[in-house]
Amino acid sequence: MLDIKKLMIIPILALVLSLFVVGTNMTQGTIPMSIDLKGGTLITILVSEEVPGLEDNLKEEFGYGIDVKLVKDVSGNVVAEDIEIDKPLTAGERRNVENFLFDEGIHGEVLIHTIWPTLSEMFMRQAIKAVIFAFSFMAVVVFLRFKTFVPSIAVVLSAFSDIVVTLAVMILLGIQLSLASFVALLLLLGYSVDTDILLTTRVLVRKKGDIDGRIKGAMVTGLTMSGTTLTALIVLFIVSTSRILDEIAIVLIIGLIVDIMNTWIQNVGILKLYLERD
Amino acid sequence: MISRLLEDRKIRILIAFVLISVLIISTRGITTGLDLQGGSKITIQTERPLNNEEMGQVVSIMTKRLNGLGLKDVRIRPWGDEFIIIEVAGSNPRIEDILEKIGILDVKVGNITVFTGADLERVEAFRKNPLQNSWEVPFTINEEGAKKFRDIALKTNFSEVSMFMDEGTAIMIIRDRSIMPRIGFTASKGYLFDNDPLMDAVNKGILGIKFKTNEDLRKKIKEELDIDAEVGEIEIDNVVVGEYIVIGETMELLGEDKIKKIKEFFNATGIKEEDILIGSTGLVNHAPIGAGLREELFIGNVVRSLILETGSDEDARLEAEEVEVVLRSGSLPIKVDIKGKYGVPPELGEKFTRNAIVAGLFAMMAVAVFIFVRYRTPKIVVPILITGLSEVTIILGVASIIKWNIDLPAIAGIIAAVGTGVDDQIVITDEVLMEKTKSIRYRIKNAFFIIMTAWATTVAAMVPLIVIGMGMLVGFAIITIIGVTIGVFITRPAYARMIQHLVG
Repeated sequence: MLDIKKLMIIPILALVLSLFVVGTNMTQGTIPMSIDLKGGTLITILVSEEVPGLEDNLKEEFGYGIDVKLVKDVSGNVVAEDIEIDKPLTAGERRNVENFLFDEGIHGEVLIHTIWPTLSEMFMRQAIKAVIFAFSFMAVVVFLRFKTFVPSIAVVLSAFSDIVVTLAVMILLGIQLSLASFVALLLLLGYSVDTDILLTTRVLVRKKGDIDGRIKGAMVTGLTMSGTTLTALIVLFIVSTSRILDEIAIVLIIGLIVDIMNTWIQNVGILKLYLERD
Repeated sequence: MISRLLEDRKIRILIAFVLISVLIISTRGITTGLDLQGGSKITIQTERPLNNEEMGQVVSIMTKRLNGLGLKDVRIRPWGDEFIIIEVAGSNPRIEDILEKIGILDVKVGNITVFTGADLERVEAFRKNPLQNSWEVPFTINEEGAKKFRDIALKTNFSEVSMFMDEGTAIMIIRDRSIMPRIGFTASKGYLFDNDPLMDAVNKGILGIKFKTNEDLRKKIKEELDIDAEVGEIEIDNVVVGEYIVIGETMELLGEDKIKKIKEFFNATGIKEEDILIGSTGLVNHAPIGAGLREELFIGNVVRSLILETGSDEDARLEAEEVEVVLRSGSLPIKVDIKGKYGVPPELGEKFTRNAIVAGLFAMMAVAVFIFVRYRTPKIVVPILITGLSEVTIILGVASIIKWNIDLPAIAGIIAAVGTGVDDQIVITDEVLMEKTKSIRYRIKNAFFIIMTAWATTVAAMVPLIVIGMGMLVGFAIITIIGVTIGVFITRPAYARMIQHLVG
């Protein structure tokens, strides 16, 4: 078997780099965020085909930071266009935009979703609080179950690395962080701990065979588990047109791939070091 | 072999739960949330933090108002002590108006207030008056209010009655007098923007009149006069002909000093005194006291049943409905501000539902293929699929009983539960397959140690979401907990038995 302990440098390096990426972006406030976190206005217009030059015209008329995205259904038909404006609009400004869109020939329904920064700051704070609590509670449960310090820490560390590295990957890929992403991160916590618990139980609690054998057995089961979930998520991502489901799927896909690295290299490495020291 | 399976108690429990769930779902249906059904989600911030009692009052008033509009599926939730989150299925163009209105009724004779909303004893449903072809809201006031009404009416020799809802102050600045004859504009009575030919013209889009907001002027007014106002420009044929300013406080509250300062502010920019018009806004109706009523009051009677008229067109009908609803619900104790409004049209919602179901089925098929490739026998694939589907059915059954809204985060929760479910089933399968030397009991016990720990960690992760109460994440968390718990106590034991009989 490859010297896992040498391979451990990879996940550890990934964790350190990720902490750096996440840390600097957080302090600079440059994490790409969707409007439900950073505030702004989302205007959805129901159209059956793309309105040409909408983004440019809006930018010219209003001078806001504007991003126009197409919304498509399963068959690939355009069903709506989303206009994302980087600042929250007052009632009067909203009316101005509605008038403008009407003048531009958009006579269908116009839906406006405004999120003020104060609201978004609150979401952010709540969300971060939730993740920290979730994490702490889980750590307590794991520790109560295994009653040994180092292996429990390994499980907790693996979960922590999963989240931080996934966040870093998202930042680097420019994937927007949103409320749905937070949902996904919590889901990720659950999934990632599953594989680590499987590994730790098989290695610590079972007596049959040597350590490497038990690890290999656990890996077969664990990779099947991650494999089925990944398959389902990839299909979900491809087939679904819902923005929320897509956001959740992409975070989980990245997270599970990262988890494979963290569980089967980092966690395994720590367990081996712990057991071989005796 | 199937018969042996069906005799197993744990499998029977599973079948029972599935059948019950199917029954429940087919009779009660599943309540879908906004994302699937279409509707509005509105976030409201109160002027200042409220204590529990005040918040309860506000929520109750808003519920009454929305129900009054005929909106049945209304969920109102306070968040913290300053925010309220409202989800309404279906939509109504008046939702925002009705929620933001404080609802203070002020009825004056001449310029003197004779009674207010506090004096209302009963409000009847709005209706159309056949004789005058106008929409009206009948109401009854208490003895005191009626007495004052009579006294002042007599004293002022039957001056006109004006009824205000959330009276405010309006200021119009006229920059181009030449447009006046074109509009036939009358502000002589001091009521601006209501019952006003100019506002009618603007609302109906005729005469090429446009309203545009003027943020710069608004900021300046806030800085120099310390007044919060809505400020806009009036444009005719793309030429700015004037400005309008609407302030929440009544002229009385503002006081003469402030009003003088406003005039000076505009004088300083070169506007003459006669081009600054200041009046009241929020007028619902003004009319002389009818002959019949005059007679009653003249002979000394106190009249307690009165009528509030709004007009004869469609706008008047909507306004009458709004007035009735707001008066009935009572006035809000503080000012509120709509901070966010999200509307999902039903068509988009339906498309999403269909798409979500399709995506789910595809995912399930993909997982089935993967599992088949791994285990090479349908004896494992089929039970996993059956268990997975059973789990979704039972979760939906539970959601149906407790009338939990299925929206996209809830669907995500279901995916979470089923995903961990499949994971757990793989754990059970591998334990059973791998350790053939130990007793089946031992193998399954081992598997469940892992499964229970995983369950406990998932629940631990979801609990903070519910406690912190983060909006849509609460639904996700609860469905996930329900899902994994159903899994651990019902579907997984049944699956263990299935595997036992088929493969063990």
